[in-house]
Amino acid sequence: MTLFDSFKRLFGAKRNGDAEGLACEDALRLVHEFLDGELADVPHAQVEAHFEMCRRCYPHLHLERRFREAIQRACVKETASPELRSRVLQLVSEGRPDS
Amino acid sequence: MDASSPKPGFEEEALPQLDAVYRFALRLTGSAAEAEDLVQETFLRAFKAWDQFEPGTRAKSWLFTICRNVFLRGRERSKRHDEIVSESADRSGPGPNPINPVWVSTLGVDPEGDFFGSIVDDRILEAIAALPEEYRTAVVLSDIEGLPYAEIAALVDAPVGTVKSRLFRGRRRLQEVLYEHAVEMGYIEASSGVDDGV
Repeated sequence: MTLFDSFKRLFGAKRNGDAEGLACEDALRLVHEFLDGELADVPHAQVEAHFEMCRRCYPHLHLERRFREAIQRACVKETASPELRSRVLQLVSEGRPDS
Repeated sequence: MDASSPKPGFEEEALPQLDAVYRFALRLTGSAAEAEDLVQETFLRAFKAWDQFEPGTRAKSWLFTICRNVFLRGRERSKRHDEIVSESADRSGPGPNPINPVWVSTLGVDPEGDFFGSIVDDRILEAIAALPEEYRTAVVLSDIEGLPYAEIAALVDAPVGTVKSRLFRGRRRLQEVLYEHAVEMGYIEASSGVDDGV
């Protein structure tokens, strides 16, 4: 983000107003779909521009991201044990349940 | 082909998903031993039904569907039920307030959300495990495994709108629980909230 963008975020959006043609309430309502890459009715670039320029909405987006990073961090470390991997491989190679 | 030999494609398509299926099974069952049994049953069924897998679709989603179906059937048999999620609540949309009250409280004391870094992984996993199964499945499939809404909807046999609602409610509930835990542990100061400014 450039210095100009930071300046716009600090002073650009009006209270209860909009930034980049999108009201703050609408941007926040779309925050999950935006992060999920699932926006259906509003262009991704428009929502992105709002969050980049709006000093009130951007912190909400940032916290949503921190939340997701935390739950991903907690979950992705878990992997199948070598024993389970061997059992599944054996089961597939034999085409029958191990017993 | 010999009936006992692996069918073409299974090893390349399905086996690389073992860790993802195991993680999903862990979130469903809450126990490593049960998750391992569930994974074995899932791969066995998937192997036997491999000729029904449609090339070009995602093997991961297909395996998750089998895994969840096996889990739910087992749960019915054992008469163990999670908290029932009201489908009427599911259909009521993502709620009237787009402003997240947890973030409003957080912004006054920890605007960077650094408290998330202080919460140990096990506490986060406990919070996920405490979610009702419908919410838990939606959050895990979207936020951990990165499946699109349409695939999650097909997997749980529900409309996309219902999936979005479950994701919204599941995430908000998790955020509340983790925030309260952080306050309790002193990772973040309790806040009565600040002007959200929106």
